[in-house]
Amino acid sequence: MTARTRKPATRAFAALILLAAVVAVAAPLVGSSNVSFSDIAGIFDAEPPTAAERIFWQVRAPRVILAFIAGATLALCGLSFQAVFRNPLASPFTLGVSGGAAFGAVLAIKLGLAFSIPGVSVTQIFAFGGALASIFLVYGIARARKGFTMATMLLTGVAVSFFFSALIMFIQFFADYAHSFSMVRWMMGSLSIVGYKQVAQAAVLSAAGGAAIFLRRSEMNLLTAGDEIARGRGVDVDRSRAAIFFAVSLATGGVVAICGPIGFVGLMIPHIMRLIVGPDHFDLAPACILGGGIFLVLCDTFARTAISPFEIPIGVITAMLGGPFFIWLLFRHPN
Amino acid sequence: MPADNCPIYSVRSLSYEIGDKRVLDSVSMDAKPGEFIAVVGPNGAGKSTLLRHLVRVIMPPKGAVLLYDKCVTTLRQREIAAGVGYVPQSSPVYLPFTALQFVLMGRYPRMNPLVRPDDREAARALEILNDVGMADFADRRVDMMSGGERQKIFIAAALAQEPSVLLLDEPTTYLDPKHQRDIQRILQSLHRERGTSVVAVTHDINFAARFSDRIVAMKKGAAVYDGPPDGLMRKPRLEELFDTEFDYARGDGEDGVFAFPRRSL
Repeated sequence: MTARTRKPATRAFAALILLAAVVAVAAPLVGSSNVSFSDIAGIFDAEPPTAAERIFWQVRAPRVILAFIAGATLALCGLSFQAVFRNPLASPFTLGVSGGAAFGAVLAIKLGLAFSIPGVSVTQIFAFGGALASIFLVYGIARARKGFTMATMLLTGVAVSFFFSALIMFIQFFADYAHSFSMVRWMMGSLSIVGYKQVAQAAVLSAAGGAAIFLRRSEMNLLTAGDEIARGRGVDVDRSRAAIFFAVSLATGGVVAICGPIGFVGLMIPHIMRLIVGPDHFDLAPACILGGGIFLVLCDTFARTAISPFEIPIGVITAMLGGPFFIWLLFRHPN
Repeated sequence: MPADNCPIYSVRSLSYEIGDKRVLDSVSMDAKPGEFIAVVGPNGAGKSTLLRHLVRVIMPPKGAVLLYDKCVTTLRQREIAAGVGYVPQSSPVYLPFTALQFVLMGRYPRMNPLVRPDDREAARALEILNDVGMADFADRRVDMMSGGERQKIFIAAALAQEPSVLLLDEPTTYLDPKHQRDIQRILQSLHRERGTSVVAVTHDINFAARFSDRIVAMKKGAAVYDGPPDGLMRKPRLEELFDTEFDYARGDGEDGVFAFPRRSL
């Protein structure tokens, strides 16, 4: 927070930035066929690109960038939810926002809508709408019940998440076989079919939502201490909460529409970063961006190399790697 | 005490209901600059609810709360916090910040919220921690502290707002005698040396009588007494307020009268 308390965080940030740089450069080199630096150096020549150059620049580089954006966005969204709800289990995934976004995206695909706003796809717009609807549904139901508690809110989130899952299954039931298979595959989380267009689309909504969250680091600190203390210190709690809901919906919708509802990143990364840089959101927010990005790039690299040439769905990897690591951290740092 | 004698707070016919229960029943009171007001009364009298209205943690549905002649409903939360420090009754179980970080968070209404507090702000926060005798605890986690230590940190965080009035909800409840005395000394110093107005909800009627300029007594949501401590600390007012009998003793010098619930046989 200040020079007095920032020293450990400074070392952690130096390590995170170095790791992010190494991962960003190394990940596109690794795959079913490895690529070396000398293979890709010729991209700036007048010669037509070689196969290795195309694999690196047109297939793997955009995929790594998208993985970083998705991981960073989901981690930042999870962080903001954990602050707003003062609950370690809060994340876009557990509160049904990812489910709402997924429903919006599936609906857009099923309806075959073709309109778009420059830089944003119709699937993203629907995913954003689904995410926004789910969070206000969760919040509205929880608030309408007498004796509002955060536990009520989480349980409502679980219920709404199941509801959206049922709606998605309903749509899948009426989809043809090939369409239904692609929906199931997408629901497991996927970064496989991606070009720079999808990267740009994800980046636009993630940047907008992420910036809105990033600017509320002071408020997130105070919201962690509870509504009463936050109000006493001058936070307009309702407005801050609504702004964070909107920003999370925007960012989650933007990512989920392209990558599918990838779980665990938004739940786990904020906890890991909290153990590394401490509880101050001025440190936590950038740490989550770096940590979430690094984590998902590593998961994606593993997903496409472990049983190459087949790919494991990224959502399976995040849960399989993340779960045990999270439990290990809990035992290592009981506080 | 400031020359300006206009009220900081004016509460006008404030009522508040939860379901069928009337928690506040047309309460009116003023708080003038430099005053130390104690709000006393039995459990469920509406004391904490009144305090929470003052800082707009609850919005007044009926009646008005004026802060420097402006209705609190028209003020931004930051504007209220820039003048009013609030120490709630209970603190969250999970509060992972260090004392220094938590006190710095009290600077929120006084600084640009987009910017990380700088070293000058940290030095100011350390000064405040020193003022409440907690400088050695600056790097300790707040939720790992004892109740008394935590209460001092909460007061320090409220003081970081540089308030002209400090609202405290049962500041000495559950504290051991040493910490009770420490808190009393901090509040007395703020009030006497800095002229900060204090409105403290308390169950400790002797603390109220000893330190306050004025006591507001509440019962069943209504303000049933508003005046000097001496006027309340006597039969049968105190008995009527708490529905129990008291024994009285006179203290030394300026201490006035002490009251103790009569021992049951």
